[in-house]
Amino acid sequence: MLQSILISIPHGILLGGAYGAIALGLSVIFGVTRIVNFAHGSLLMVSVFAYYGLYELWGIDPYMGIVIVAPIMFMVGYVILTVLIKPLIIRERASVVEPTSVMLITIGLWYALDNLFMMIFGSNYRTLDTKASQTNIVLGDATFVTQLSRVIAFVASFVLAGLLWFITNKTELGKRIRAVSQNRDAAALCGVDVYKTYGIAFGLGAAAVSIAAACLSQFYFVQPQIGSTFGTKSFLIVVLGGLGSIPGALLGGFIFGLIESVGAQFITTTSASMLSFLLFIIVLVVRPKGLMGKL
Amino acid sequence: MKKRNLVKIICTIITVVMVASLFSACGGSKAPAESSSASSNQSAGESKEATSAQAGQSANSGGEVKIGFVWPLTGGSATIGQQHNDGALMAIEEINANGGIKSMGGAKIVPVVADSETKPDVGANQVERLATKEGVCMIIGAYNSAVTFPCAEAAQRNQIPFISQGGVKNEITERGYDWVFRVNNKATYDVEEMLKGIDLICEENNVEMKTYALIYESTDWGSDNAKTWKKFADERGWKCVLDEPVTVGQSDMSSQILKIKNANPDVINVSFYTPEMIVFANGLIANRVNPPLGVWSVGGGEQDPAFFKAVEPKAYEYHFVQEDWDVSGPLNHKWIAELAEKVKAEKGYELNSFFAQGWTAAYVAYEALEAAGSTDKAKIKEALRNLDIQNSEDCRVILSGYPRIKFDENGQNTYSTGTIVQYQNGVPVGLSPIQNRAPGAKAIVPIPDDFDTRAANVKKK
Repeated sequence: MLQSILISIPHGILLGGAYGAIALGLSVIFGVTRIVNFAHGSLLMVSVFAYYGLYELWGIDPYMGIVIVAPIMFMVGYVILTVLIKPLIIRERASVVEPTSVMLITIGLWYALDNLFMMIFGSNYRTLDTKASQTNIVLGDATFVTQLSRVIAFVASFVLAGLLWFITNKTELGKRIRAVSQNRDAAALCGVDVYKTYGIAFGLGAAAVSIAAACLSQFYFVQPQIGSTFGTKSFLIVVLGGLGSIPGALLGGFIFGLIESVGAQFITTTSASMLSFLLFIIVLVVRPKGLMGKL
Repeated sequence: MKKRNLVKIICTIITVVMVASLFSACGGSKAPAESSSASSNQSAGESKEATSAQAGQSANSGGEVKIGFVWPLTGGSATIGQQHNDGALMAIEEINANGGIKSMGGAKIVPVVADSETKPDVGANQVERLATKEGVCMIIGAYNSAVTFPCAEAAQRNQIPFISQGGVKNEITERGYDWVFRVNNKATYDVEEMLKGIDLICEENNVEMKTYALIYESTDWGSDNAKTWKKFADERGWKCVLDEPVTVGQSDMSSQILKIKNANPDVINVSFYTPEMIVFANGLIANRVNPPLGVWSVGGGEQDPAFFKAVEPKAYEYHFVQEDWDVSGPLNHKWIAELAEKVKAEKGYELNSFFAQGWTAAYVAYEALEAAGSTDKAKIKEALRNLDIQNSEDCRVILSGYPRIKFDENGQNTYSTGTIVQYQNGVPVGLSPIQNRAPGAKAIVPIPDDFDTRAANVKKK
């Protein structure tokens, strides 16, 4: 029993790393623009399909495909904000809280994207047979076994977090992003183009989730409905970790991963999932801004 | 102004896509989209003529009879639902081509297909809609036990004949619902077949079965199977060393596989639909988990061609699967072999239990309509109650290989059977019951520890 608990810890950390990588994009979007982006999972799904397409048609490895897909998803995120969301924010700028119409439009986008891809690609589950997905890392006599792609996802989560932290804390753009996330009107008064910055933040979030998708596509399925699972979980992770906090998103991911993995050694899997949500509720009651939230 | 126009244009496009996706979802996705969207357009046009379900009449225009289908065309069981739908629609095509329902002057069957989205509430709503608005005279569905359970209840409430196809939860036909009939196995039969299969294999190979682990998807199908398995296994004195329900959509099963390794069972009993089965099978082989008497899958994902396309052959080598049809059908019956070629050519996958069950259900509906000679729901119910179809070489009704279809007082076809197969060199070999075993076939137990070389020569499907 002790051995299986010890082995489940690295499994949980690897799983948490993947969760964290996916949630990072949402942390940027949610933290900066306060937009509840229900289409986050759909953006993940679209990116996964993009990598699948690149690999099946031209043999481009998903990790290489990042240089193609991430900029495209950045543009997609920018366009979504500028064309769909910005008019609603402008129309309701007298409102103190973020408009619910924005939330509704992201829900609509979620359904539209999922169903569009279902129409085009059908419901079949596809898998990517790349080197990273087929290679297993085996320690001992199959004591600890995991796919190479999961280890890469774990490392990628840190790299991505570092990149996003660097952009938001060490660049001029990052200063603008932090300014608008703290106070939209005050930032506008200081000459920051709020909506352009929002667009860039949304684009960054979409690009970040597309990088996570390159990792996910190599140990999960390619199917139009995979977004819903991770989209919902990403919200919980971001809120648990703290709004606007990049390390918080990673921490939240690790906590979820560990609870699911280690908890499942003591109780059933379904009950272990319940523990994650229980912790989520406790943290929100005790510390509403999340574990590492600043805002 | 230009930006506002751009917003309007984009919003219009998104609205059109969403509305189009609604029709696509209603009519089924991909391959059958042409026939089922045509039928749903037809039913939309004809629904004005629909009368209430209580009157027992269905909407007809000329020589047409509408039958409703509820399948999971999206969601976790989407590929399986699609295959059921393909089987049903191909059967209807054949029935119509052969003159339709002769007792009703050659009336053609018009399928009205609805998507349950693998969700119980959606499935039940679709049954309500089909019964009250689409004017169908009977409904067939819905594969997933968790969906079929409320669907059957909705059909009973609307007093419309419901042919349950695929769902194995015992209670579907144990609630005294006289409008509900089930063609396929229920969980009790599934589990009995598997345990009898284990008994047979242990006896023939002189091995002893002591412990088992249960791992299953946490909705009705998996839970019912686990509960039934425990009941019968306890009677045999076998010990349950792990009982693990798993949430649908799980992306990583390392924890569960660790628990199985620790429990060290003789047999692992699995009830997973396709996505979870892919993750689990890959995880088992990667972690070199090898129960001596094998992995026993109740079917579900491990009967789906999509599963076999997604994993390497070594991931399912030596697995025992309770197939819901007679896998030797194409070998023993010429018409099934010809149909198998047609399915491969038109649909791109091998004829399998899901296609066979969809086909059989549609043909049973046709037989009931022939006997009833009317779309009166009460007459159809009576016809189903009195139905007695014996399998024979010429019988195109029973693609699933049952010897007979006859419903008992609870609406259960007591002659439904499956076959226990074991994958040997990538091929399913029928082993139990004995009459479904090919000459010379033998189980491979104890399962060899050849993790690196098993099924090495088998090409990925």
